[in-house]
Amino acid sequence: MGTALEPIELPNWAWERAEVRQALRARDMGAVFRHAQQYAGASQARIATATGMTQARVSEIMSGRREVSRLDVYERIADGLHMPDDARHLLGLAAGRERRAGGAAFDLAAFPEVVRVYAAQNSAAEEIQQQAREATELDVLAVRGLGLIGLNDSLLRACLPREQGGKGLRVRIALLDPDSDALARRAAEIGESAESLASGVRLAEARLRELAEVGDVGVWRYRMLPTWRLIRTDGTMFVGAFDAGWEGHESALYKVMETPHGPLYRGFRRMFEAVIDSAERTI
Amino acid sequence: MIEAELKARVHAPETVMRQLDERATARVEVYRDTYYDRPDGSLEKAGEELRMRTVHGAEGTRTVLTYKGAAVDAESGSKPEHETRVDDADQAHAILRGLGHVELIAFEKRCRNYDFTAYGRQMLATLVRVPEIDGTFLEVETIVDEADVPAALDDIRAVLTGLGIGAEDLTRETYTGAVAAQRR
Repeated sequence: MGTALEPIELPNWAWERAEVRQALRARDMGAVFRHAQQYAGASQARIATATGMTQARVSEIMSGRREVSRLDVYERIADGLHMPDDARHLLGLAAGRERRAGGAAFDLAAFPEVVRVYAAQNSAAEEIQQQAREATELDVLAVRGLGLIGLNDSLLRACLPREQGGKGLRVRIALLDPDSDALARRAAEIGESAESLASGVRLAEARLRELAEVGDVGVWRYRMLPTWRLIRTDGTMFVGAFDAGWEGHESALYKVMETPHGPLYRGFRRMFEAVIDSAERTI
Repeated sequence: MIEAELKARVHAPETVMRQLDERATARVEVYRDTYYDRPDGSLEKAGEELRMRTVHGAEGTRTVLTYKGAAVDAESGSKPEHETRVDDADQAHAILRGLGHVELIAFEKRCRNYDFTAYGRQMLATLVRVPEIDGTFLEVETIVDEADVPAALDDIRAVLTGLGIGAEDLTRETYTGAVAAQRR
C-alpha cells in the first residue's frame, strides 16, 4: 500500500487478463478500479488522486452507484492508471498522447488555461462569489482565511451551506497550522506577531465549526510554508500566491479553467489533495 | 436577422490560427453552454435551439440567452437568431425550467474569436475546440437579412478558401449531436 500520491502501475500481464480486458471492453470503470486494487494494491484514495476525482466519486463508481460516460473521464482514468495502448483501444480511446492534429501544445497555446487576470482579490470578488454560488465543490487553500471565509462579511461566507439552505455544496478548507514553524515564519513575513496570526486561524476555525453542523464542511491544518493561494469552484480555479511582505489577498489572481491537457489546473488540484492528505483535520 | 454561418473541420490548426492572428486580435473565451428543449423534444425535432451561454473571457463573464429558429438555408443550416444578455444566469435558468423546459445537454466550448471585415461584411471567425470532440473547428459567420444569405455564404466561402479550407472540409455536424454521441 502506497500513499495517495504514489503512481499506480499494474504489471503488464494484469492488462492481458481476460477479466480486465472484458471490463475495459464493457467500459465498466468500477471493475477496472477493483482490478487496480487487486493487481496494484491501489487504495481508493490513490485511484482518486491518480484520476483527478474525489474519493467519494471513486467509491460511487466502484459500488455501481455512478457510471462513467464522458470521454475526458475515460482519458483521465486511462492516463491515471498508465494504461498501455492496447488497453486504451479496448476502452475506445486512441493510443497515447498527441492524438489530434494540433495536439496538446497547440490546444494550450490557442486555448490557454488562464482565461482572466485580476490585479487583486477584490477585483475578482464578484466573479468568485458567482462561481461559488453555482458550484457543487469549493476548495480553499489559505493562511487564516478570515477575509475569504471566516467572518460574516467574508468573500465566500454567503455561499456556504447554511446560507444556501443546504444545496449540497461540499466545502474543504485548508488553513495554516497555528502551532507550526511555518506560521511563525509567515507572521514575520507580513510584520505580524505569531500570536496574532495564530489566533486569526483559530477564530476562522471556530467560525467554520458553526457551519459544519449544518453542511458538508471540512477544515484542515497544514504545516508547510504557504506558497499558493487557491480557491476552486468545480472546474474553475482562482490562483494567487503568498510571498514575503505580501498578503494573500493582495496577490494578483489568475482564473484557471480546467482543460484536458492543462497542467496548471491539474497541478494545483493535485497539490491541494496532497496538502490535505498530509494535514490534520480539525473539523 | 439570420446568422449566415459555415463550419469546417480544420486539419492544419496552427496555420489557420497564424493567418487569423495576422488578421485580427483574438478574443480567447470559454463558453459554458446549456441547451434546453421541451419535454417532448419538439424544439430539437423542429431544428430550433434554446440556449443559455456563459462566456468566460479576459474582460469579464457574461451570460446570453439565445433562441434560434429552424434553418432557412438547407446547405449551410443558417438560422434566424434572437439573442439577449441576462444579468443573473441562475435566475434565467430557473425561468426556463419553471416554464417547463428541460436541460437537453450542457458542455464547454473553447474559442478564439476574431472580428474583422471582409467583402464589406462584418464577420466573426471562431476557432473552436470542444474537449469531448476530437479535432479543431472553424466557424465563420455574419448577420444578414434573409434575402442576402446566399451572397453572404459565398463571401464566407471565399474567406475560408483564403484560409486554405475547401468545400470538402465543411461540416453540418452539430456540437450538441457529437457531444451527445460521445456520452452515449
